[in-house]
Amino acid sequence: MPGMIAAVVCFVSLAAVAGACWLVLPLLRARNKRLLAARMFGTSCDASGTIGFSLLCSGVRRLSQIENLLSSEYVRSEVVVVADASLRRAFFESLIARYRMIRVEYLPSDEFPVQHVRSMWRSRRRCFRRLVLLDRSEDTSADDWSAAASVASYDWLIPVRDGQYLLPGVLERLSVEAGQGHPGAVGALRSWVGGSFALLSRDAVAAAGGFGPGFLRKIPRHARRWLWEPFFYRPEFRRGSSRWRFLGVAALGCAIFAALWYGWWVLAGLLLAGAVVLCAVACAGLLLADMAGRKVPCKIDVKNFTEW
Amino acid sequence: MNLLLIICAVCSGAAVVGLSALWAVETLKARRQGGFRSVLQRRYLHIVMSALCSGRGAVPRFPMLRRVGSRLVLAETLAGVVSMTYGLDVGLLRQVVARYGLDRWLLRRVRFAQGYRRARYLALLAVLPVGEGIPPRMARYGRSRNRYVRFFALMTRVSAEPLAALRRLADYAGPFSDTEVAEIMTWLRRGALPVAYEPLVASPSFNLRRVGLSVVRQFGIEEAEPLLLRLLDGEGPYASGTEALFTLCALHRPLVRREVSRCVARLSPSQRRALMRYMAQCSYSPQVLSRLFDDSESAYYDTIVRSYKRCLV
Repeated sequence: MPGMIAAVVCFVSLAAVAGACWLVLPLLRARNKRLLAARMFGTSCDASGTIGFSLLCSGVRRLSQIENLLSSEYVRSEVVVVADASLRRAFFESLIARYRMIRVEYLPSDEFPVQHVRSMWRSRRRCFRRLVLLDRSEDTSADDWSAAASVASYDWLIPVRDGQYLLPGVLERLSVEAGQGHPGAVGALRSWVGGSFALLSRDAVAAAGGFGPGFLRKIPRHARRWLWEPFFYRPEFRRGSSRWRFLGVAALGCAIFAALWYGWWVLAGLLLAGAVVLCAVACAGLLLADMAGRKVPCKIDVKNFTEW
Repeated sequence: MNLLLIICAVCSGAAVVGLSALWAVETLKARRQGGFRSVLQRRYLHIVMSALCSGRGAVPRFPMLRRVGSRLVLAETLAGVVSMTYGLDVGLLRQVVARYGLDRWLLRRVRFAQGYRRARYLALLAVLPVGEGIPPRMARYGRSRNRYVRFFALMTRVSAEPLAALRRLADYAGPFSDTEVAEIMTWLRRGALPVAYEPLVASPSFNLRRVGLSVVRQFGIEEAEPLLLRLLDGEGPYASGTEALFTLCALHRPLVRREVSRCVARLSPSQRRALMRYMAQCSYSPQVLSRLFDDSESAYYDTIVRSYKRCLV
C-alpha cells in the first residue's frame, strides 16, 4: 500500500511539472510572437492584401462595447450588430441616433439562410461607416451570427458575445495569422486564453452550413489552429486580494519546508506538486497580462470618436 | 520507493525554482516597462529628434546607456524614428549606431536568442542603418526553420544593400505572405527601395510580381493596366491572375474584357463571391456583372449592392 501511494504521488508530481511546461512554454512563445508582430508596421499602415474582418455581435447590450469594437484602426474591418428592436427598443433607438443610421434594403442570402430579419441599418457618420445593424427577433447566438454573416462584407468572421471587449491591435495581429499560407489553408483560429475567441474563414463557415451546433467540428482538422493569446478582455474582471495570495504562498512554503525537514516525502511531493501548479498559474497570469497590455491591474483606455 | 519520491520532489522543486525565477524576471520587466523604460524611451527620442533637427551632425550623448536594457531602448527608439519618417537622412543615425556599437550588440543578441525573439532582434537590425559587415552574417539565418527569422534576415540584407534588393527578393525561398508584402511596402514607402513597378510586375518571379501588384494597388498606377491584363492569362499555383484581377478592381478599371472573363471563369465559386464582395466595395455597377457572371451569381451581387441602398419608391 505505501508503494501504491508513493507511485500515485510520483505520477501527480510529474503530471504537475508536465502540465506547467505545457501551459507556460506556449504562452512564452506567444508573447514573443506578439512582441514581434507589434514591430511589424506594415499592417498598421494599410490592410494587408485583401484581408478584412467582420465582427459579428450577438446579445450586445452596452454602447461602450460597440464603441470599443469600432475603435480598431485596421482599415478593412466592420461591426455587424444583431439586436431585437421590439424587446430592446431603447438600446436600438440609441444606436440609431448615436451613429445616425439609415435603413437600407435587406435581401436574404442563399449563403447563410436565416429568418426573422425585420430590417437592416447602416451608419452614415464619417467615423462610423463600418457599423451595420440588423433588427431580428431574439433567438440563439448561432442564428444571430449566421444572420450577421449573411450581410458581412469581409472574408474573416469573428463572433462576439456580450461583455467581450477587443484588446488594442488585435485585428492587426490577426491579419498576420490570416495571411499565412495559401488561401483556404486556415479555416478557424481559436484561442481559449482570456475568454473564448474564434476567427473563422467565411468559406469554411458557409461550407459547415452556418453557425449551427458543432459547426467547428465540420471544419477540417488540418484547417483548425490554436493560438495562445488573449484577444478579448472583460472590463468587470477583478483580481483577488494580494494580501491573501501572499499569506497562502507563505503557508504553502512553510508546509513544504516542514515536510522536507521531518522527511515526510509523500506529503512533500504532494505539496511541491501544488506549488508547481501555483507557480505555473502565476506565470501564466503575468504573461497574459503582459500580452493584454496590463502591467498592473488597470483600466484599458478605449478611444472615443463620438465627438467627431 | 523513498528514493523515487525524493527524485520526484527534487524535480518538482526544480520546477518551482525555475517558474519562480521566471515570475520574478517577468515582474521586474513589467515594472521597468511601465516606469524606467518608458521614461528613458521618451528621453532618448527627444535627444534623437533634437540632434536631427539641429542639423549639426554631432553624435549626441545618451544618458544611462550602461544600465540593463538601455541599449535595447535606444535601438528601438532609433528603429521607430527610421520606420515612421519619410526621406530621412540616416547619416547621423548611422554614426550613432556605429559609435555605441548597436549593430554588433544586436548581432550578439540574435546569435543567442531563439525563435520569435531572434526574429524580433533581426527586425530591429533590418530597420537600423547598419555597417557593411552585417549582411554576410545573415546568410545562416536565411535557412532558419522559423519563417519570421528567414524574412527579417532577408530584409536586413535588402536594407543594407538596396542595389541588390530585387535579386535578393527574387531569390527568397517560398512565397511571401500578405503581411510580408505589407512589410516590404513600408520599406518602399520610406524610399528605402526603388518603386519601379514595371520590372516587378513583368518579373518571372512570383514574389516580385506580388510586390509589384501591391505597388500598383497602393499607389493607384492606372498605367499598369496592360501589364495586369497580361497577368490575367496566367495559370498554375504560382500565377498572379487572381491578384491582378483584384488589383484591376482596386484601380476601378473597366472589367468588360475578354481576359477578365477568362480569368473569372477559372475562379472557384467561393473566389467568385469574394470577388463580387470586393467589387461591391469598389462601387462597380451591377450591369458590369451580367457579362462576367451567370444570372444566379449576378443575383448574389444584386443583394450586396442593394444592401447599401434604400428604395424610395
